[in-house]
Amino acid sequence: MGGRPLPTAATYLAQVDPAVQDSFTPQQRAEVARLIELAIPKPAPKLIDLRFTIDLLISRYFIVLIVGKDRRRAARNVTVSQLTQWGNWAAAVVLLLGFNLALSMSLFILAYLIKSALGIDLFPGHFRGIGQG
Amino acid sequence: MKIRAAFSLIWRWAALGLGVGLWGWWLAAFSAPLPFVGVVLLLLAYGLGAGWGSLVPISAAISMVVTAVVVHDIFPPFWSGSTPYKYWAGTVLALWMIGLAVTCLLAMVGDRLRQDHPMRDRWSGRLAVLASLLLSLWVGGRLYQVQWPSWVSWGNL
Repeated sequence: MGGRPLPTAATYLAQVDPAVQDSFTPQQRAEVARLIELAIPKPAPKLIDLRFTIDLLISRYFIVLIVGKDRRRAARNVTVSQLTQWGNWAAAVVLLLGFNLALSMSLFILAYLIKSALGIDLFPGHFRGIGQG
Repeated sequence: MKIRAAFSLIWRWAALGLGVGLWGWWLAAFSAPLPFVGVVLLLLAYGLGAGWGSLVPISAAISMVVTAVVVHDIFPPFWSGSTPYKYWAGTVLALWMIGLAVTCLLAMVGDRLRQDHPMRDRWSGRLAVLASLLLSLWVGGRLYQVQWPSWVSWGNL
């Protein structure tokens, strides 16, 4: 679940064939490193970065929820068909509703149990043995 | 480093055994039907096999059981009807939290058993841990049946 260190130009340069590496002049190496740095995507800081996997034995799935400030100026290159886009939306809505329901139910039960454990009785007569301690 | 890793696995396994024993005690207290106990066994095997990938499904299953207990006002037979509800609410809350902690331990131990071992050792390790957890579950149930802990006066809570 922990994040891996982000790759740098040196990470990629280390994978170049040693013989080719030796043939680089310092200027060439610096220029290649500069180009690699330009090509490496710079992840934007995230306000929420939640990632987890669900193993269903037949297959493993990962779920990612990321929230951050959108700094993109160029339009996104969407290469999927309209039908796939609708399918993705429908699946995302069903998943979000499912998670929302499960989380809301758990939070409600948690709040109810904490309230009850503190002896707060919102509907007198509902609790078994209330008023005896 | 290897000794340290072994100790870390052993204490997690011991804590897991205690937690699963507690599950066994409460399953017996609720007179849980056999299919339900079977599902618990399957979840234990699944948690050991899947590691952290099982955390969300097992936590969801535990939360559903807790919700059913609260919504249907399910109490074990030894729980006196005159006992203030707040004690029951506190008990259910504690059981829920312990259940989630046991799930995390199960995932931790399962994940640990997936690493650094050849496939044959991995399976024998999982089977050995699973057998010990089944034993813990059975011991927990037996302890309830012999009315342990006997020093707690359950009727006068």
